[in-house]
Amino acid sequence: MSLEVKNLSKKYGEKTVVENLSFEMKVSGVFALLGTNGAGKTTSIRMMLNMLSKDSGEVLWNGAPLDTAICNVGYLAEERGLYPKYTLMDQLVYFAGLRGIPKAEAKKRIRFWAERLEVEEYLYPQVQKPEGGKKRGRVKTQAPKKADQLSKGNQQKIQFMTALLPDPDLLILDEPLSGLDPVNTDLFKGIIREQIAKGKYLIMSSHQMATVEEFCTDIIILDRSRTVLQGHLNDIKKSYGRVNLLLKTETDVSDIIRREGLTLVSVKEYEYQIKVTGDEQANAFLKLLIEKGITVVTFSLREPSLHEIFVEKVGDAHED
Amino acid sequence: MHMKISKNDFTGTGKVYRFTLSQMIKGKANIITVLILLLITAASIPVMALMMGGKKEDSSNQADPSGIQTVYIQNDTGYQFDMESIPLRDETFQDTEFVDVGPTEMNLSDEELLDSQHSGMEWSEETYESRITKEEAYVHMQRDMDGMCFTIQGYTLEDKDFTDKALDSCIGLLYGVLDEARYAGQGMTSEQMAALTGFYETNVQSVPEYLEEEEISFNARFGVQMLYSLLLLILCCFSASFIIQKVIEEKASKLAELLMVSVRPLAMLLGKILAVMTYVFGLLAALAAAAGISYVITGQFADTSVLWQQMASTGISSEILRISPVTALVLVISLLLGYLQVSLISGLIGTGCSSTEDVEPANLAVVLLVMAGYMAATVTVGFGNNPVLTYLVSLCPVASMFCAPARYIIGDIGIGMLGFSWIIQIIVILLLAYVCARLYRALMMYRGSRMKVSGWIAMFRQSHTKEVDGR
Repeated sequence: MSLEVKNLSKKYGEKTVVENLSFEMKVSGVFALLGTNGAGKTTSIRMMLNMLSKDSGEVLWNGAPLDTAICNVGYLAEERGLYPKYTLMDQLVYFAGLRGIPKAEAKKRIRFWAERLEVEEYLYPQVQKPEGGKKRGRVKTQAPKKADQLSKGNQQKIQFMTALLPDPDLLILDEPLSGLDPVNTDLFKGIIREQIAKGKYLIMSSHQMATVEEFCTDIIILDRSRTVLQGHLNDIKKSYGRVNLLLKTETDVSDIIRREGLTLVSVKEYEYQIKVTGDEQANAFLKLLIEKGITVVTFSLREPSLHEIFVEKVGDAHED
Repeated sequence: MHMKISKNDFTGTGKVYRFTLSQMIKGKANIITVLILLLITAASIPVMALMMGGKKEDSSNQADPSGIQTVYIQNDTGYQFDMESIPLRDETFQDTEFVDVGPTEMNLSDEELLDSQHSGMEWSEETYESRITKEEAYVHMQRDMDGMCFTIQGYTLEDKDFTDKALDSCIGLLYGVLDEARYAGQGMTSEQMAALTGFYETNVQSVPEYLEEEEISFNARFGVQMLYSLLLLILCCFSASFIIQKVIEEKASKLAELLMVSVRPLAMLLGKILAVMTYVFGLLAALAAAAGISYVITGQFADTSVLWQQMASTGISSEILRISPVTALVLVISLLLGYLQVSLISGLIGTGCSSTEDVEPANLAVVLLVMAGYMAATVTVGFGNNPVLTYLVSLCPVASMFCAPARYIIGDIGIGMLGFSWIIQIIVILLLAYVCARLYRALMMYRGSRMKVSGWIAMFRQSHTKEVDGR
């Protein structure tokens, strides 16, 4: 399987919203689509899924134009939506049916994902035992919930289910973790990891760089409709070199840092974040500290984070 | 630019249809509305029948509708009557007994006559009062001795229990009996008698009455047009409201993207249109069934013929309606075409909105359009059968869906003109479907205030000049 996006472009009037977006996924994994607000990420995804017409370009899945009616694609849209007044089960069966899943099979899958995402109580009638532990009493059955009776996080779980129900080969997740609490974030991450392990192709758009770094192998950064950085995440990081130095000492070394011409990013209780030009400058600095008899507790040299790369590439002019 | 509609564009229509329909049927508000409508429809039949005076008479009273129990006939005509056959001539006298008291005794002297009267042997204008009751009548049938003139006189008590009209009818009946006896006396055959005594109608009219004939015709034309227009108007308003509500519901709930991954926009719209059509037509059928059942039940305790009489008084008769399988087919096809036009327009207008606050203005836009057609139909019918005007409103889009079938039923246009009107309506439907295919996807993704006409044109132009991917 492979996904190929070639020269995707879109204009609204005179304004270009996506300009020649191209990337390729030849192996399974997670591809990150990054960018500031309004950079064109969601528009690109919508064009890929044929929701928006494209001015130019093509999207190929296994060499043929991607047609969501034929290809098995799962999509978690940025705009989360459910029918507010219909029962969740009705909606899920309907969405599964639209993906060609028979009702019985859909119900099995819904049961599986409901347990996995811990939302059974909203989908199935709940029997409430009589109050006060009485043996006799009226047994109440709580009706299945409707979408508008659910919290935002639980609605997001149901929407994630709709994307997972067809067991898609290509899963597109637009801001999958936004608005989730830490527990549910871990739940979602676990499922994403399972999908990666199953050899699925994932495209993820997110502002949470740490999450992207956790999963993604390849990235593309968009800025004002244009691609500003693209490639394998590790290669990109390597190209920047190890420029982040974390230093922890038992005494104040701020003066030494300034004297050596290093950039002090932050300091907190003798723990310093320092920018260096590379390994050579870092090693020389370490040697100097030892010569001066300063006790070094931590000396860690690492590549820039995706967050740093993103900020550097996109600049401070944009809001994140 | 290439734009083609493929089979795949309709994939999923059935699923959208079933889901939309099932949710409409399950919806509490819809269930309550349907129940109320059914109740009103069912109740309206007996209420109307009773209000129009259709109270059914008790069966015991029906046995004596004229109110006259016995008619004593003193026959001085010289002809013999079969008394037992008289009640069979008129069902209002079917339970009246006609008794022949014989002719007046002419040879008696005045004293003998007086004695006989006192002894109760003889009937006469002087003695009848002592012989009859309030439910009885005395009739004296005589021949004028000078010529061939006959008189029939009826006598009752002052405080009789029946109407003067009943007595008049009785006298009239006896005139018929006398005439037949006279003809039979001349040796006429039954065919000759039938030819002579057959009913005929006269219609004497003054000039103003003659001119009122036009008025009756106008009532009939207006009635038929009104009846059909109202039916279509109800259908269109219901459908437009449902479709707009369904389309905006999906957009406002931010479901457009989720759905569009699985199903094509055209299938989404078509599924909804078909579901609403099934629901609304089903609702109309259910209302018709409720009215039918109510009519039958009402017939058990009230006279339902008054409803037809009321319709006939407005000029709508079964003859004018030309009730036949062809008329029914014409109505179904016309309603379907009208529905499709309005539902496609509703779908497009609804998709140009983004929030539930836009439901009302969107509805209003469709209702105004439909009302324009409705008004054109009801106003122009008042101008009579003006050929130019009739053809114009029968062919002009929007007005034609209201006018063409009604004008066909009235007889203003033939089946050819109706067919031509249908062809134009089908072209309009295809054009609307084409616009839907071009714009619906973009409209589903549109966010913002309700789209104005300029927005539609700009979007259409954009879709026309830019390449549309070949989904």
